[in-house]
Amino acid sequence: MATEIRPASNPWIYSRVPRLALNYLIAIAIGIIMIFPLLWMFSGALKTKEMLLEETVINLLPPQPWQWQNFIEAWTALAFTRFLFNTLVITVATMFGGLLSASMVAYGFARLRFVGRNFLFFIVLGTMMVPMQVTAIPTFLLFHRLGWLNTYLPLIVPMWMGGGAFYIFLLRQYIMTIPTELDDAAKIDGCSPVGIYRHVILPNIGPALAAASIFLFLHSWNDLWGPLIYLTDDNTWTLARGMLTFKRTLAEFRHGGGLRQYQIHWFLSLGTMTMLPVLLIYLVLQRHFVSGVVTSGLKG
Amino acid sequence: MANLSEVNTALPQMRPSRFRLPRGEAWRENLYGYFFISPWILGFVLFLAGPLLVSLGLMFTEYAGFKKITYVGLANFEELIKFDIRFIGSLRVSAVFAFWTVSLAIIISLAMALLLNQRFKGHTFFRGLFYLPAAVSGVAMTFVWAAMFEKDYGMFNQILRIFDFDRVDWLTSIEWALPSYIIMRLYGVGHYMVIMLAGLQSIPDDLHEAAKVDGASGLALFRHITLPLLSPTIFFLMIVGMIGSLQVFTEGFMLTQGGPARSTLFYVLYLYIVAFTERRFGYASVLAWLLFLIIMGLTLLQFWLARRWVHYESQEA
Repeated sequence: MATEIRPASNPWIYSRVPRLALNYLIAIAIGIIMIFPLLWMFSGALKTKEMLLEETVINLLPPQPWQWQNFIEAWTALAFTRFLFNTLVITVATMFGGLLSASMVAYGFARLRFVGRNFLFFIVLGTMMVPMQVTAIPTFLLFHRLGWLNTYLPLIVPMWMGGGAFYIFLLRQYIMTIPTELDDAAKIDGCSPVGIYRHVILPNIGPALAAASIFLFLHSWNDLWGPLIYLTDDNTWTLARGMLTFKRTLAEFRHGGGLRQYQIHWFLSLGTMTMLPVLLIYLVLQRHFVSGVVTSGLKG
Repeated sequence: MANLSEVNTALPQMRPSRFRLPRGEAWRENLYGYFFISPWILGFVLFLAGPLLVSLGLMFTEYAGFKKITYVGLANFEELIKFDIRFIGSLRVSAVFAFWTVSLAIIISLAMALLLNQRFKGHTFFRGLFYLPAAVSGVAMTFVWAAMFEKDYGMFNQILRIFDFDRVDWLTSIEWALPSYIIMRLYGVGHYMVIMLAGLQSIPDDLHEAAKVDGASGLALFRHITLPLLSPTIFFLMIVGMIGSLQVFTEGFMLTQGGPARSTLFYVLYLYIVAFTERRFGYASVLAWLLFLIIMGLTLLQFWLARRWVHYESQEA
């Protein structure tokens, strides 16, 4: 910002070159710090435990032979295929229901006039203050009474009911930017609000839906609190829940003949595998990722 | 990451009705309106308002979930104030953690945002790179942290070993456990940076230009223009960051579970243990409501500050 403003012809440009070089130097240094743990993880996932212990310099290129079996060993140490399946079911159901219901509610608040709309929307915003820990105990008791423990339902059903204030807010703000003339035109063509929602609103809120679905995905993928409370049977565990047990039992200690064995290479290979989807989504949808954070964080 | 973005400063701004509809139409639109928001109403009653009331009632009881409920009056509150060392400890741990994470994150993210705001070629690439750890933070990353902090094989001790330093018992010693969490959180500084950057970009260029014409130096520009105009963003990040650090759970539960010697017993971790390990739903409800009140207080403070600053800016312009 400050540096961009300068008179047109200026010998000052000479002092600017080293400054630019300094910028790059600092940026590259921070970049290395930021990416180093990930590179260490990728390389460590392909090493043996002994290599990790004995190396005197950090080899980001793992020495041959690459230990691909780390991935298989870590994955099969617990029923991770099952956990992945559970996670996918929950994630897909959550995303679908969350997007559908949140966009419906958002459309209602953005476009339709009904008694008490402002007041109710104020409450929607207010609910963002309520930490989920406050409602956790009664909600647990409710699901317990319903006999829903150890099913996917406690993790899915609440997301089908508006998906949380944050998503409603995000989508509503976006819908507000769509010109109302489109609605009016559809109305003249005989569309009901349901038709307008389907044919005008939904096709036009793609970027907001993309941002919302990223957050919904991350929420399900990383949620530990929910699975911990609702899923005690390991057939229903999600990846996050499985990884907790993996961390506590298998990888942490193995008291074989009194020898403490830390299966660090498994950690890294399992970490790599579960991070890969998130990493891919970030690389592909970076724009939506960042804009979602900024919109939700700043713009009113 | 969700925590940071889940809090908003926005007040609802309703667009005024553009035209009056006939009576029958209006009735129909009311019906449609309630139809569309019905999922939220259902969710609000079942999973928010209802549970909130129930937990309000639970505060005055002793309840393990399955046996009979016993009414205990104010005993839970008395325990909280007078006897619970773990509660005081967890509040302290969370406060120390929040203080260091938020203040360091704000300083670092401000520096990073100022750097990227110079718009040198490739700044979007670096923005993506700086944000990367924040984007992938989650259960998988926590796993990797566990490995990085490991005593014998971990990355940090490996680096220390290369430079011939003594190894550090990162997550297993009282003095280093909490700092380890702070380091871990600071890797997600990209979140702060992205918002800080948006704040910087919203500062109009002409203000800087005007000050430059008046002969202001770079440092003076920063102190008297950039910083004051960025202060709403900084305070927003402070409040949101504090709320986020108060709610740390996954990392704490996975890595240390409060140990060693309760030095990493974060507030929500303690809340979880009381509720679902010790099954003291009544007492846990008291803890939960206190958390709610703290977060509500912080949010209202943010609202109040935001309104003051909006006023301040409009006066300035």
